[in-house]
Amino acid sequence: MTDDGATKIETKNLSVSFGKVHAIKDISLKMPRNHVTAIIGPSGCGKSTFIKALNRMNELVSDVKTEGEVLIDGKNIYDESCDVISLRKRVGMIFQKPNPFPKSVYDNVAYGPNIHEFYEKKELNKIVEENLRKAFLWDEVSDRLNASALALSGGQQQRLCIARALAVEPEVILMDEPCSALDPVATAKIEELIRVLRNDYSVVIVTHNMQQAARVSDYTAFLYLGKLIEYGSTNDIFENPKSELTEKYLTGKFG
Amino acid sequence: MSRLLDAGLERLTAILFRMGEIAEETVKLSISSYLMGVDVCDKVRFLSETLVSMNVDAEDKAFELIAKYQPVASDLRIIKSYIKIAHDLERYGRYAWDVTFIQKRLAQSEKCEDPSKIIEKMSRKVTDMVHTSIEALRSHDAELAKSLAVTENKVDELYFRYLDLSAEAPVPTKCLITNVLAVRYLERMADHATYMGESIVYIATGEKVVLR
Amino acid sequence: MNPRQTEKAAKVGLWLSAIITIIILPVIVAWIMINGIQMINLDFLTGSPYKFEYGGIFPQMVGSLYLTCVCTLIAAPLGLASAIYLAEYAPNNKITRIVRFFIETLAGMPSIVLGLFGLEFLVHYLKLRTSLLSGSLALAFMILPWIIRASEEAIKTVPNDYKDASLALGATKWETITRVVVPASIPGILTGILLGMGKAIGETAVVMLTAGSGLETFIPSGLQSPTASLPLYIYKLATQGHTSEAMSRAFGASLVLIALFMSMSAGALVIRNYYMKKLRA
Repeated sequence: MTDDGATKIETKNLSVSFGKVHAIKDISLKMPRNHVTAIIGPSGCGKSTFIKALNRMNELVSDVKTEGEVLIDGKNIYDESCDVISLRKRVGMIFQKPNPFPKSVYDNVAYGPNIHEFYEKKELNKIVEENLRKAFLWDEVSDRLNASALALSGGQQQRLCIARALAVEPEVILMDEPCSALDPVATAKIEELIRVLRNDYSVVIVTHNMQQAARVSDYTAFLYLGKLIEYGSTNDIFENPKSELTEKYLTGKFG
Repeated sequence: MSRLLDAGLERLTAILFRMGEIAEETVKLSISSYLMGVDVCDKVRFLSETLVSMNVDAEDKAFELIAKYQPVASDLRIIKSYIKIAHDLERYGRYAWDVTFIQKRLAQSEKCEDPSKIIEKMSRKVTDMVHTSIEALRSHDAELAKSLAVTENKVDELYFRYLDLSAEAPVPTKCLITNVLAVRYLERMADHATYMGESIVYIATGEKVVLR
Repeated sequence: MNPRQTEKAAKVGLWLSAIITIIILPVIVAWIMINGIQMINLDFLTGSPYKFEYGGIFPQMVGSLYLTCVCTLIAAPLGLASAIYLAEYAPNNKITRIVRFFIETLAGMPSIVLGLFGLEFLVHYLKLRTSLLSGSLALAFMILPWIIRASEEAIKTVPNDYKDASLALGATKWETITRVVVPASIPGILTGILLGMGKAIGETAVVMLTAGSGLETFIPSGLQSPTASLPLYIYKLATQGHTSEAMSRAFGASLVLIALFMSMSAGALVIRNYYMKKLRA
């Protein structure tokens, strides 16, 4: 489907289990660079587990076992030689519920850069402004950078989280149902943002909203009960899915 | 499990099936009356106008479903195709009306002789094609739809043979012109049958084929 | 009695209980004020005890403050570190449960027992003598479990969302704790510390056996110096004083003690509200 030079993330026979529960089984998938890949499927199909395997966030839960490989730019991130800290710098994550720190808008965006390197105030100001602009948020907060991030609306908070993630200069952005907690107007702004982000980043988005997947992504993967059922270009999947299960899910006959 | 979309789809489908019934009736009536020299103008006009207004209904309904329910996959293919098929069914009615009208206008609704018997053959084939296309619509049968391609070839052959023959006629008569126009309309009906076939194949398999 | 009457009776009963409870504080304060206010003057506050029941309470005030501060300086970092360990690193196993049990038990330890322990272990065995250091250490043992409890509670209440976000940005667990979790739990931690200080400043049994006689006429010059304290002074005057002079002084000192204690509680409230506002919006 895509040739190897254009693949940013590839999973090979990826399986993740928590204790006795197999959350995802044997998923092999190639996600292309500078495109948006959507992961869809009914609740409990393993979408969240899958995306959290891509930045090793599953490891925060005890009792997790990961088998198979996840290759970013050809290198397996589960290898012993791979440093989780620098991995998470390259692979950013946006969560379902906006979770800005209880700090000022400025400090939220500056948090990531401050952890990894020392910056002078002037440089930091530039970084903060640049990333707030990238997240389509600058115009709304430029006059209150020192106000608490928690005073922003839900949609603004989520864009702030995006700016915060962009500030560490990732290559990949993972989004776990980023719009579920937002109203339609805020959702539309974020979808617009996602379309623009793909020029500079590779995006993987988990969503339970099929129309959103159709609007926003270039490739779509359908998961069911932990297995990969179908994967292809979004237009193909939504016009003429090959698997009957995919067809049933898309047309709302279950899930 | 019944979805909100299902009720709308059922109504749209009902409109189309009813259009199919009416279209078939109209075509049969118009063609048989042409061959026998009977005046059925009023009835055919009425049926054709019914089909025109039902086409508008079908289109409106289809767009309403799209705006409300954002259908995808097979639902989307069905709705997309039904819009086209409603148009094709309306065309059946329109061409049937054209045949009846030209019969009245030029030939005063009298029977026009056709020694070559080509028109009779074409009529049978075209009526079959109309029937088959509507059958395939009811069952979403791709194979049945694809079979229309074969018959369409034969209809085209007959059409061009009749044109060639007519070109050689020494003197133009009203009946000759009426007949030539009539076969033209028959040939167009056959075309629309294949368009319908293509849409039906698309619904069933997602393939975009050409049946002409 | 029908249900309506029962309801009314219950309401009245509850109201009366609440009134009694609420009245107690003002009654105490008023009683102390009435009896002690006449003692409050500059000499009383800046002078030293003289011939047991005369003089001022300056060394006692300073002593109490020193004891409280040193004890907090010892207990707060220790308590916070323990709380961080328990909340973030301790595995959920039997050992941890035992540790928690120990902390709970220490919280309920009778202060006289702690004082006795302090006397034997700190004063005699470690030869720290009756001093600021002994008193502060013993007080630190006393308030440590309270600080741990409040801090652990505050840290646990920090939503996991923040930790996830920090880790996803490439921070280590320790960076997350120091830059996100602890700053976010400051209100709870500070409240715990201030409450601990409040307990320490009013503690009598412990300081009686470890810090000094309570009647010192000098302010402590160093950690080894015996230290006076207000509660102990009040106790001595109230039990060994024979004149009304002594009792008045006891009330005066009590008034000062209550003032100090209440300002600490008020301070706790103010600081807590300030940080809550900062963290919410």
